[in-house]
Amino acid sequence: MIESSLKAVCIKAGAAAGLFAGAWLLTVRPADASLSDRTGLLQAQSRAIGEHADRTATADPTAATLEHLTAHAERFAGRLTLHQTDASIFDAIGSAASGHGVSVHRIDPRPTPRRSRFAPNGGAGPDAVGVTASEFLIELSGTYGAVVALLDTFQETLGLSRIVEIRLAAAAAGQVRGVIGLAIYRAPSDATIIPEPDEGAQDDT
Amino acid sequence: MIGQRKKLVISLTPTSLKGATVRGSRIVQAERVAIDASLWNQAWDQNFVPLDRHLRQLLARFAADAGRPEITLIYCGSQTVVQAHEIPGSKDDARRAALLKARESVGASFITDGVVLAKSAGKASHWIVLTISDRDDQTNKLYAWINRCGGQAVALIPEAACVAEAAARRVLTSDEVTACCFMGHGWSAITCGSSSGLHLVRGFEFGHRVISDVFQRALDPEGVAEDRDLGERAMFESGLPFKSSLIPEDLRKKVLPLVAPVLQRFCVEVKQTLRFGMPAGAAPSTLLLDGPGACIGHLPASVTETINMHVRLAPGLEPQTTQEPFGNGSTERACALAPARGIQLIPGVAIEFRTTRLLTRALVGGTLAAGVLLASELAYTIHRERSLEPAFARIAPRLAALTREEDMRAQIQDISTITGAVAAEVVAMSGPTPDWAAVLASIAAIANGHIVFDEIDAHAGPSGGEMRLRGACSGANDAEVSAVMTEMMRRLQVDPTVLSVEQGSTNRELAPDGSVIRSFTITLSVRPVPMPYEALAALAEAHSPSGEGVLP
Repeated sequence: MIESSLKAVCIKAGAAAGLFAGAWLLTVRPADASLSDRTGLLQAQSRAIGEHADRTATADPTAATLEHLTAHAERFAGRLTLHQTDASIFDAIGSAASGHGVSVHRIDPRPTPRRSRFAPNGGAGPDAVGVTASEFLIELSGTYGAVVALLDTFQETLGLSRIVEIRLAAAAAGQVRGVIGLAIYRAPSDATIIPEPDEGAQDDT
Repeated sequence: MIGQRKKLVISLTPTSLKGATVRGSRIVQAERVAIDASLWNQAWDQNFVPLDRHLRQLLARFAADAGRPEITLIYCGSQTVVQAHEIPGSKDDARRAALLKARESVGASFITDGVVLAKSAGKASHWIVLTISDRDDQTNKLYAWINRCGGQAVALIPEAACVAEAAARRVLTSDEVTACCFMGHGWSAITCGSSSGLHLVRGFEFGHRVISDVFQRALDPEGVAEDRDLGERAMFESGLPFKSSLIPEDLRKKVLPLVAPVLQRFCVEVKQTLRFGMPAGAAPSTLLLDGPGACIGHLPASVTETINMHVRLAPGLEPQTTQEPFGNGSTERACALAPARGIQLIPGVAIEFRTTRLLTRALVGGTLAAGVLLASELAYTIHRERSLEPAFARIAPRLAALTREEDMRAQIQDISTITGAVAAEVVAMSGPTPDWAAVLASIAAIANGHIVFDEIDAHAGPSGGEMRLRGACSGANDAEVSAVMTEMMRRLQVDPTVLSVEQGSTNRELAPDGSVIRSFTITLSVRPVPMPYEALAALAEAHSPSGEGVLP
């Protein structure tokens, strides 16, 4: 009789022990693991902040560098995508020339534009840039000073451009007449020239 | 034997069931329920079922709102074995040895308990140990009976133990050697000793019930009377017929022949006990009568002549109250108010129940403790985790700044990689670029009234640019022309936009007015200037995440 009672109590004790073991596994252990994780995270963050403080004590402010770089890159991208069509280029040349009193008689595109081999991600996908160099021969006439001023203006009005050829000859009444070879570097307006900021970067920490 | 907290003590005799609640040394409430003697005769055989109603009735008077009260039962056992042992050694050893001896003598079907009454007065370093044994099946019946009727039996005390312990306590308070006979309902005990120790203790099955039965038979020879207490009441009211003048003559005639042998038997028990239990010549001359039986009228006088001793009532005994339940001088009162724990028989089933209950309580306690520990650990862990929040809050602004800076560094890295690579490709496609406008401006500055440029032919090359100038220089004479030419060449050579100057062919002519005209060709190697985004392109080549020192 005593043995059976003892056995029953032992079974209950075992069940209670199992119950508490299960409860411990389901409650205390996850809480303990969470505590360890949070403690480790706090230590890691504190360490990173300390290292960051050491680094920022000697390095230039990152924000200023980024601002400067971004402005520079935006200007570059803006000029690279300024003109998407030849017609736009013709208009820009004509407008600039008239502004300086230079007469443009003819604009001849060179037959085959050179295409950049550069394309991020192996040339496929949305990040492919595809920079194109288009060359134009501009036949013009005007005063020497006006032509020189026009050439100087091309740097601003035609985007990324490069004068590859100049042929000028004196004409009557202080005028010069000649041909200007111009290379213009363009990229599609939807090309990824400046990477988008990673929006989720701050949330990750 | 009864602790300080409130307990219920019940005394079971063949004629009554008495109960009392005891707190410390005080009887709080006492009740009595009469039992028909005929039921008593059947009770043992029928597992006390005939007495269920009486016990429930009694319990109802005490424990209406107390659930299952713990009950100590004093009972008149029919097969109780009383033994006294004189054993050397320590007190505990003596008790253990006495229990061993008693169990050995009664067998396995009995349960036994013992108590050390006092030191032995006859032998040094010996103890007088009283052991009481009763059949396990009998005690099991009593245990089951109490539990069945709503109580909770915690101890069973045979009346023999009560009378023996009470008789011993009586003589142990005396400075001189004293003999005492405590006569209970069904058992009596004789002790002899003093405060220095006990000489003897002996219990025997003889109580005032034997005498009252004689009175009952005398008054109701046919056994038809409904009043089963008739004999007992007459015994205590009239006393023994030998010396009493109160007893009616007809009753005296009926009782006298019946009670004489009974009293003789009692006297022989007393006399023989003292004779053989005491050393020769050491027996005291006075015998104290104690207990309810001592209150039978004329008993001391009747006994005195037979045992040849002075017999008197024990001091403090109040004959008028002994018949009341738990009244002064009653056996149950002596047992209930005993100062120390006495003999308690605990049936095997009760031990099992207690063990199981103890283990269950331990299990419940352990479970609760484990639950509290678990909850405490969980709460402490959560508390520690929450205590980290202020630290997180403190570093949050600095962490946000760090994150922002890491984002900015990533953006710098991306711009350096993507935009810088595009810029580098543009630079690679274009090649060196001269500042043609600046060169043309310098040439315009050189031209004056003596120098005229007729043709300018320039083109960009892999090392910069090359510009071929064709023009003419005029002057009054050769010397002036040479000077103008030399000055022009010097100015071209020092011009910052020009790398080198190479003069080509010249041709001298005379103008119609006699002046000298010298036509010439000059080839300029034009210095290339950095393209506006070469710095950006350099980022990709340098693989510099920050671009520090590269940007203009």
